[in-house]
Amino acid sequence: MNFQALLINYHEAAAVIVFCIGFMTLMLHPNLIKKVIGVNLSSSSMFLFFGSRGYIEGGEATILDPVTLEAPAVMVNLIPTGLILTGIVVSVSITAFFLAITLRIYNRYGSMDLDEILGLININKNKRFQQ
Amino acid sequence: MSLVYNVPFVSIFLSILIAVLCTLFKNGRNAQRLTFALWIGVAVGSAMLLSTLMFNGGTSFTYAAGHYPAPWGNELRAGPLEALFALVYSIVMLLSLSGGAEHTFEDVVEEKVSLYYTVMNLLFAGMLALIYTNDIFTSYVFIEISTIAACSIIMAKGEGESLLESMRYLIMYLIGSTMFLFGVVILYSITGHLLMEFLQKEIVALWMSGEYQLPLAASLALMLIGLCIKTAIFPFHSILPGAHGSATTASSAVLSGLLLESYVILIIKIFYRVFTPEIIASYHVYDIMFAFGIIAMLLGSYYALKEDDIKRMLAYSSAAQMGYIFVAIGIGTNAGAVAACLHIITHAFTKAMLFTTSGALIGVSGHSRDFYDLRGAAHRDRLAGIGFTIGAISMIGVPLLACFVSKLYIAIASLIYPP
Amino acid sequence: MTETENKQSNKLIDWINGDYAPAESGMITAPEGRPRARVKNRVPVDDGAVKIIRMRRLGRYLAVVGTLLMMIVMLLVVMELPLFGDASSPVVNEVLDRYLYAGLEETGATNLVGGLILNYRGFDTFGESTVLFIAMTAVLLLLKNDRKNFCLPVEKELLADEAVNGKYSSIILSRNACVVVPFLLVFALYVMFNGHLSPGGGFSGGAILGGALILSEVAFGSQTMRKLFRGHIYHIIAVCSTLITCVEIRVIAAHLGDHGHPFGAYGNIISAGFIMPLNVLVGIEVGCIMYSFYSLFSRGDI
Repeated sequence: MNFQALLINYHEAAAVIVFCIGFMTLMLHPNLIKKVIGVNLSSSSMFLFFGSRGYIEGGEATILDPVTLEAPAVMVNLIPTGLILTGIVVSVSITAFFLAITLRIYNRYGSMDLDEILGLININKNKRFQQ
Repeated sequence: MSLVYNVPFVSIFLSILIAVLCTLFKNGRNAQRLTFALWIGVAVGSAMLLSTLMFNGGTSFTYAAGHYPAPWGNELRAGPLEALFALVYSIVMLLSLSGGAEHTFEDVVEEKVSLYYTVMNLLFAGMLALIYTNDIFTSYVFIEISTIAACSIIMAKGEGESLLESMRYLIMYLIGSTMFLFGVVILYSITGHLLMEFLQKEIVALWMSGEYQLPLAASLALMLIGLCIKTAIFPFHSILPGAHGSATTASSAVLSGLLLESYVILIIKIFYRVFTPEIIASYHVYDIMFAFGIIAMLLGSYYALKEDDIKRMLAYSSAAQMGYIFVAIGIGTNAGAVAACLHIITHAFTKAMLFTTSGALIGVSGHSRDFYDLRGAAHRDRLAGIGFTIGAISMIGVPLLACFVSKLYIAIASLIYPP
Repeated sequence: MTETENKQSNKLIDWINGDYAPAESGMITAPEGRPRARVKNRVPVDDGAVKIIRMRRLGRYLAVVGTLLMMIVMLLVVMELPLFGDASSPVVNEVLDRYLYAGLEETGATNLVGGLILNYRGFDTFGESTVLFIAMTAVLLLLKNDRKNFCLPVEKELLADEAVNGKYSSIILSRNACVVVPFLLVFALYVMFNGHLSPGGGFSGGAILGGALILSEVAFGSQTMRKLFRGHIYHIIAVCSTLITCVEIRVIAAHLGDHGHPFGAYGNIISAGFIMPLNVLVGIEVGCIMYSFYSLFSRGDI
């Protein structure tokens, strides 16, 4: 139970807490827009976690000087940075798709509340089979 | 290296290229012909690859996707099993889409049929990449492609119910993807590699030395739970009936027969290539999978009996068959994994046939999915009736048909498990 | 149905007997009178008619407790992870050394991250641009106007406003956009072209380009933007995607000949092989996709 490590790794601890907040929002909120926000919170916290894994003490960004071509003395780890780029683009695509479905559902049912929409569908289903 | 070793790489690229080209067609029929030509080509290529590999002694080869060897560049890995899966996938997709073609052109609006085939091609590319990949982060990216593609083919129908089911499917899939990504990130930060062979060496070294035990267990748990959410095993099966039931015929066949299994293939890959089976056995993961598999088998069949709607019943039957596959993996031996792979192949064919024929039966009964309206449908469309009967008998496991063989393998595998 | 017919035992017997034989009772013809079920749009919500079933309390508490348990377990994991900034963590291995120290000679890019994602791990970038393309296709499938889906009539009102005022929106926005948009476009081009020399690259440059196009649509009106693109924007995206695929094959397939690697001195604009053309193509594609998202969401039409 190394609490010192928790204080040194405070970026990761914060990322875990934000991930769980986003996760709970995604699962429990009935409003569709809040679910989208939950997905974004979870993804962003993942990127924070991953990025903070890449830091090396005293390191600088992995960009060489274009004129003199000299490298900084200590460079940070660049693999998490590259993977986060991919992750951000994936997260943007998922958000766009989710919002498009939300817009289409709103045009169709007139409500943003998932439970209310399910109630509307149940009414229509009962009406159809009772002819 | 003969030319046929390029097949895995070329099939993924060609699928994506043809998907982009399909969007430029105005006429849906041309998109359909191009897509079918692609799938026939991939099937032929995979068959040639399979025969070449079998003649050369059945070993697998790695294919560097770049100019750089393994831990610095990306890699694909293909053996006879992967080539067989690719062959099965292309044949099943071809058959499902040609069987459901009439319903596709009815359900989807005319201008958007070529977009539907685009998304199908990209789904195929995603599933092929999950079969062939040797790198964990690449599998995450292609899981996301499969997610968006799967939800698009459900909501292509455009009616209210399919939109809502597609959204609930998306939410479940996003929960699974985020947990999988979390697992990958933790695994990278304790091992420093992303390619599967190097991950295995590092994980075995960590396991022997005893450091980072809790992160290792946590990353395994997260990755496994994330993937199991996507295979719709017992606690997560609630999205299946709505999504597979309200989609158009070809979509249901592909989703139920192929997509669920591709995540099981990824689970088997993680078990055998990232973590060795001994490490998995020591975490008692096999026992947990076995237990959930049995519960899924029983509960899936129970819910299927309660249904009034034929497509929802078939979707619950898919959940039960996933239970069979998890039981086969959960036995823990190599024989169990072989039985699981065989059941994946036979289930793909049988489930696709069931969904396609039931789509035809629904079509001659006034587009109603209720059993009350389907009475006499097999007399109206005899071919669909015969097909549905054969599919149903095969799914039960009657001898002389496909699923009997795979269920027999599962039974034999459970018998040779040393007590 | 009478009461006795509803009894479970009779239902079970009927089910076992298969109701009654279809051929005898003339059930071969399809049932008439049941048209294809179409639910009417926009069912009005009567008070008390819609039963909203919220999640049961027990389910809610279980979900919260489960997530809290997961959070505690994750915090324990964080305690065990290698420390922040530790130079002896397992992540610093031979993989990292080759990327950092041999990256310049092998990729030719002074921005090592750009070299990483487009040369060493080019397959992941290829997958990523495919994710963007499929999101674009899916949003097009969902939101483009057709007979089953038509956007709320925003377009007509906006056109009416435009006819009255002569301008789409406020004069402050359009005057300022006249000054800002050229800078944005030039900056987007700079970021795209300099992806291999300084932080930037195709995706960020594309996002800036998309922002510039969205700003010009908001400020100048959709009619002006239509004159510029004439509905061909989707073809631009598709062509860019195809070209990206083809160039990536050239970069990635090790068996199609040699590297195609730095044809230029390090640190110049023309260097680093295929990284610069890839960045530009990806940037154009991403910019057009961002603009298409905006126009599909607001008007339902590209």
